Amino acid sequence: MNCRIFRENILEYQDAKPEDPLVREMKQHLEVCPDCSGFLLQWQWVSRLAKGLPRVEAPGDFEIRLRKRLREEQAEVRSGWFSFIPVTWRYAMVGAMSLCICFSALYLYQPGGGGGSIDRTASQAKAIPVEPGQPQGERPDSAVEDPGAYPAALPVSTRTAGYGGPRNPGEWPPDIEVHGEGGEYVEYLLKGTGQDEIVVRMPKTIRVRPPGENDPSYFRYISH
Amino acid sequence: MQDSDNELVQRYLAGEEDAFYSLVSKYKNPITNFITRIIGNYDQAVDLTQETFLRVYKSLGSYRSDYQFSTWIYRIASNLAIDELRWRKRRGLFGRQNASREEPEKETAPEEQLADTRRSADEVLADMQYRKLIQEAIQTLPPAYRTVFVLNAVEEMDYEKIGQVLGCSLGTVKSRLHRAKSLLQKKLAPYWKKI
Repeated sequence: MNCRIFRENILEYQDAKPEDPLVREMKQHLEVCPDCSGFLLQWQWVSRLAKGLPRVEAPGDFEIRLRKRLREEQAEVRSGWFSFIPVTWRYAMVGAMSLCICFSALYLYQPGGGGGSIDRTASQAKAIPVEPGQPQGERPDSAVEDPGAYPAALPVSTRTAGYGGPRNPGEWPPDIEVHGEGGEYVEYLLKGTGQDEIVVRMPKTIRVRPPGENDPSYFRYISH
Repeated sequence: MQDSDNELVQRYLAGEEDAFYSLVSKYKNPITNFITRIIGNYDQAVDLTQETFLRVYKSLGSYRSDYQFSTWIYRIASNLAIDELRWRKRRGLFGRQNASREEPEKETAPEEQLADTRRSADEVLADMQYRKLIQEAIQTLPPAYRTVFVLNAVEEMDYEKIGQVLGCSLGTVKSRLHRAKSLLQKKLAPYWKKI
């Protein structure tokens, strides 16, 4: 037994039974080591000081204050919003409100929700191979069966087709000749200011010749 | 003791509100004492004791009787006390606390102590001084050591129960206690020589 081992095991010395071999060794060490004897006395003194600290008590009105606080907390819980509605109903209401929000969001973001704007992208255009004998640049009149199959917004340039600025979406400029260059067609769904929708089928590459004028703005529409 | 605590809990759960207040009156002083010794501020300790009982009240339904109720309530109290110490550390309030200044007025008055004719006035004053010293020294311990030391030396809990309260092993409890006492011994060493 040396001083280091003694000090490391000092807790055991206090707690272990006297017949414990370790305790016996420690006692033998104490007889020959005044330093460790002093250390032990000091150690016990610290414990005695801590044990001698006076007991602190709760204030006399502790229970009254606690009762008051519990009542306040319970009242707070009871007076919460919708507290008069049974809990199961509250869950049902929350579920219904969530569904309403989801459906509203879906309605607002569904294709064509903006009304009057052409909201398909050319990059999502549906490419259809040119059928032999089919007139190119044809403007179909029928409404589209499946609007979801079409791009969400046309490029800005296609919104202003025709003379003098924007025309009604879907309205093909009557005074422009369109000639297909072969290859593929592109179908655009154009949405009117009302609920009407129209499909415009045009070649991927077209040439526009404005009659009698040489307006360079037409050439913005040549390719998509 | 465990049975009676569990019995009180069962009675409360069966709808007997007064059973809860029996638990309150049984534990309010030990918990106040424990928290005061940990955080060194009586008023805050009373608030935290109240918070402890609020939590007990709210979660008595989930209390499992295979644990001692006393272990459970001390665990709640020690968590609250440690949270308070962490909050102070974050706010830099460690230095502001003065344990002796915050000591409650529940200590034995010096005149009462002097009534004990076996002790001289010097001894009584020395005792009071040492109490102040030990309380201040406890406040300087790291929270983990402080909690173990207070539970053992002040609340006189055995190592096993301390381990249950703090959720740590017996070895950890012993090592923390050893470290805490060593630190206290070093801090109080200058005063030891004067005895």
